[in-house]
Amino acid sequence: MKLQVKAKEPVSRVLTAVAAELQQQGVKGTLEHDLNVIIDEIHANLRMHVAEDNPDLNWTLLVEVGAECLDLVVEYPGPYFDPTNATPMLGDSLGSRADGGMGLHLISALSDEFHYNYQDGINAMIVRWNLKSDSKENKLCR
Amino acid sequence: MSLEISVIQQSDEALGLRLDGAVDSDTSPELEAQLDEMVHPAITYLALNMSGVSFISSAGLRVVFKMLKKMKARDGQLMVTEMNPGVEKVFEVVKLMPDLSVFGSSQEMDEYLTSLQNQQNS
Repeated sequence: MKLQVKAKEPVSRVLTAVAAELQQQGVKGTLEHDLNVIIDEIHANLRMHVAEDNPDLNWTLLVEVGAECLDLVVEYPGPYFDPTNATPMLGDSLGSRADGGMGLHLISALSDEFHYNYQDGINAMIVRWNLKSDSKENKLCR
Repeated sequence: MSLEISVIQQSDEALGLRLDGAVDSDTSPELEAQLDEMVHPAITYLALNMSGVSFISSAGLRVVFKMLKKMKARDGQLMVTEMNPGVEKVFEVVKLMPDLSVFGSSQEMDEYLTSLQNQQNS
């Protein structure tokens, strides 16, 4: 499925559309939960950090369910920003854990792969789950 | 998706709430506003029944962190019960579990709250 999303719109419309697609594809349980979390993290970050300077920003969401992989691809126009290089701030003390970096940490922890591409002014984030194995050790999915 | 917040238990020092729906970037501001209003200065035990929570993202976790800090500062506790496996995984990923009092069932949490109230009244 492919969906055009306005960065300023509530995330609920996106999640409802994705839920319908996942139901059709037979995806449920923890994977659906993790996908919801990650879509909200990405949407909130685009709304907060990118749409602040560009209120009309639209981004594209693509969900592809294959025999071995589920791919979530998010594309948006803008300056180069590689979230996979950002260092999550997730300290051990209660005080240091409250601010920043949790979203990126969750994206990495709840998926099997997290990649970034930049081409012709378009940022692309690719989040992938291996449907054939629960093991993070065997996470390559091609 | 929306979030419903219901009061299930209330005393001078304890407040129990049930959350139903998604705790995400759409709903967390309302959750934070309601908690700020309901968690008055005398509350030292805040209990959240999460059985109806479909998922929680970092926006919701920030609200939980805020309430956890508030309870710790009052020598109190933030108690959580009946998380689904996905929600529990998120709490584990952000290393929140050791700071929470986690109960397997509402009954277990109610009994604990009642025993605390009995101790305070005796």
